[in-house]
Amino acid sequence: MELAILVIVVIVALAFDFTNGFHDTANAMAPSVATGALKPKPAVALSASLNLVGAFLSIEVARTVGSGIVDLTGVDGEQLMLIVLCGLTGAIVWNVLTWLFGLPSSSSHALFGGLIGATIAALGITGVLWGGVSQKILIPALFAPVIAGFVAFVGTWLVHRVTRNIGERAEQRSFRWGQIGAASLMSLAHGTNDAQKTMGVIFLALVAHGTLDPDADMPLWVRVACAVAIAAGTYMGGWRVIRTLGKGIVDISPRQGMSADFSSASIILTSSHLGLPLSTTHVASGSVIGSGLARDDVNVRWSVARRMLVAWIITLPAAGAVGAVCLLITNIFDHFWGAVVVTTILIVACTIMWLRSRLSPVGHHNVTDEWEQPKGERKREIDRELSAVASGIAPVSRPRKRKRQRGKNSPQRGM
Amino acid sequence: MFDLGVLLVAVASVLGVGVLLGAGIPLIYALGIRAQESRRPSSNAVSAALMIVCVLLALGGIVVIIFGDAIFVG
Repeated sequence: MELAILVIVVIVALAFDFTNGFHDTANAMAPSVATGALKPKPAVALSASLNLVGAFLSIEVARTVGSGIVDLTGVDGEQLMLIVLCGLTGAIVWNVLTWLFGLPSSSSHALFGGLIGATIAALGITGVLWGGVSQKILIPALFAPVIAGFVAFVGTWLVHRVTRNIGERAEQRSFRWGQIGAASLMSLAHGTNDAQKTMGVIFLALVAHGTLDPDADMPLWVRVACAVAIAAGTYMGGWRVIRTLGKGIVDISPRQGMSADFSSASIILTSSHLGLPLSTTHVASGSVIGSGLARDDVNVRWSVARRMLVAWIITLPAAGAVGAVCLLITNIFDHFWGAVVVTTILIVACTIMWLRSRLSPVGHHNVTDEWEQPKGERKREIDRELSAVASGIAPVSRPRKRKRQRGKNSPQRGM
Repeated sequence: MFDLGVLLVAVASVLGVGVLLGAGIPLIYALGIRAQESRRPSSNAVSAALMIVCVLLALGGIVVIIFGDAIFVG
């Protein structure tokens, strides 16, 4: 039965890796897709290939994930595997839910949150190494978007200063290759950081099963399986999140897109080297906001950014709560049937969310459509403009023609 | 175990490399674009040289970051 539980854990871990890939495609490719530097399908294909390569380049982060977050000394193998399974379940449910709402939340935090929640439910509050949690998760979560935003702000500001006399057509043409290069580097960086997290979790399960010693090297099959899973997920393209990051926060220009991607890539590659499991989502979102702030003529949509921030804050406790509930459910049954029931719940939950997503499909055909503000916000904006005109602050402007939505009548497909 | 010193060094490294590569490469690329658009004599050569510097910096960054321990520590 222990082997059967191990097989379930490995399959669910690879499923998490897959969701991590499609949730995070946006981090690398959203700016390039939004500015038209790359068509959506080639963008995700390029990103998937480079994620595959990146997964083989470094295992520093995998080592970090496998240790220092939860205290698992004295826990028997089967229980440890159940903790990992429930943690992964919490992470997948949160990933799919935030994808449904198009929110770029952190897969890494979902994973850590799930593991922490399941550990608390199994071993109590003392089962979590809070020092490690602060050092490896909480404090980097505060620093990552701020540093990324600062670097992207500086980069975008410098690029605008240097190229302020270049026309729009020249900008589109000239910065296209820079953007593609930066997005490729970002995809590579993502592979070096995020594929490692699942490797670390599978390694933990293999150690719990007794297949591996804690000091053993990462088996090749684990590296290959994780690399393929994250690349496949990336190729599926989490179009909802790409749309929010590329179009929702700020109407990004090629110069901004390139600066944001270079900022994210350099930060993630450095953190991979240092073994810091930074959230690539936090870094990429921070970079996009930073590049938006560097231009006076571009508005950052703070309502979207606020929703994203709320999702970031509740990711850890929400995934933890799901992980904890799953572990309590497994306690009702024996270990094997507990694992089967939790996996079944996971499949049912994901199927329901996927079916819900079909009601408002976002795919490669409509990912770059103009961003529609919610009605309430649009009304407030019109009210502000009207009151500015009435008080003589702003001149009366001719109403702008609304752009016709592309792909409105195109076939409904995609994710 | 919480080690503030290690964390601060890591954050400073991320910030330092981020500013150097993350803001430096776009700046050099932009200088290359400006040279290309200026249509002065030899602007194409300057532009090409700056683009090559960008590519080399990106590749160098990847090599140092990924194989840094093997190269510098042995």
